[in-house]
Amino acid sequence: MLATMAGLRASSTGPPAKGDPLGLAQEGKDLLAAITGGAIVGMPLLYTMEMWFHGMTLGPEHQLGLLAAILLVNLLFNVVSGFRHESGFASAVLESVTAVGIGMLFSGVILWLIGEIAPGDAFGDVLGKVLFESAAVSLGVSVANANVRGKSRRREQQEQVKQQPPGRAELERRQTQQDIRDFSSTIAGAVLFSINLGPTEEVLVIAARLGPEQLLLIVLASLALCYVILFASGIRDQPVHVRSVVQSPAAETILTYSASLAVALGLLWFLGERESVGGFGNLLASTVVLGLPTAVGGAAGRLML
Amino acid sequence: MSHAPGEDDKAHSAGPRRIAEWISFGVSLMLVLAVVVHLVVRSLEPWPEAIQTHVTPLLDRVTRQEGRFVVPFEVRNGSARAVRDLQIRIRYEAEGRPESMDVVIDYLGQASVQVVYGYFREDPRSLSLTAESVSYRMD
Repeated sequence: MLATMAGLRASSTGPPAKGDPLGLAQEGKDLLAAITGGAIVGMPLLYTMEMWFHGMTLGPEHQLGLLAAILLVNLLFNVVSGFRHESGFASAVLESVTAVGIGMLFSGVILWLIGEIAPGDAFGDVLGKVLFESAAVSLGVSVANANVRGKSRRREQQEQVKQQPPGRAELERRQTQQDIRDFSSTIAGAVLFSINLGPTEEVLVIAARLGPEQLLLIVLASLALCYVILFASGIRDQPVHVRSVVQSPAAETILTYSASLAVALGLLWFLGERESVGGFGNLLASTVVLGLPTAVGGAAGRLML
Repeated sequence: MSHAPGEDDKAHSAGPRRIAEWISFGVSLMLVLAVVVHLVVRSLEPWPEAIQTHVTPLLDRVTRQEGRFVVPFEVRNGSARAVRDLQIRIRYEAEGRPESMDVVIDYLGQASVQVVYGYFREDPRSLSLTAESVSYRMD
């Protein structure tokens, strides 16, 4: 531990800064929180083959009906609890449209990353898949985020501030406990989130069709989602009792992703399709592919467990 | 998973919507409206009851591996509807006897192409290869 400092890292959900008259910074944070909610709820379904295929075979009337249903369900959720916690029916309508828009964009990006949609595919197929997946993702945007935003540790901090400042030994002890808790919740979240994906054929199908550049993109996207969920969305403040290099957001993001990759490897080894672990190339590709939802689970585990 | 958001959470969103929020809403609205318009236009077009598929052996892309010939077959769905369980039958003559092999494609999207591969012991250019789709399912 390089330095001693009790405090909080990352952002809060407090009022917008005065230097942000257009609300860009706050909106960016809200959108990242929305992506967090969408990723947590929607990621397992984005890895589900039946979702791709059903989306592909739906006719335009069914797709229209599906879009109307997604908007309606999001509206109902937003009437009760919108992702910006605004009240009023008109506000809920606006939030629902925004949630569906975010859901469609996020679903499109993830489906493209895993090679399920590509430039040149028939637009109807792409739209069907994106619409089907955005049903879950947009609900995640509307609902999950509203539920996790309240998990701030600010109250803990306020209680600590009232007490006498602890000594270095006490801070070191707290930081060790915090590190153990974070590591455990990362592993638990990653396992909980991905244990039903590890044995599926989808991991193998996706891994088999992706080249090294696409796998590298998945690694970068996994790291980015880890960072967004842990730090950028501002859903939860991260207590830091003893500041060190290991406590930096970059280091914690990499540690969380590494732990998630280890979980993905373990799940593939014990539960995965036999072909997934047959040879180093297959094993690496399958681990990276399963590592994306596992990293979301690992980072979400630190928020929720 | 019910959780009542705290007052702190509500505080930041109090007051009128700001420009950034309107931008997010505007982009989302345009996306949703574009999808609606596209789907309405498509729903006005006739929905095909039967699909058109074409299977073409790509004899100019034949490769040789461990004494066998690998032949790609291009399967094209020319209709505006995806199909399931598309069965392809490849017929050829080996040593004067008619032979065949079947390939099943789980899903073939609308207006899309998939390539399937078949192994042959003899040079396929001398086998009088023909290929056609024989059955499919639609949801």
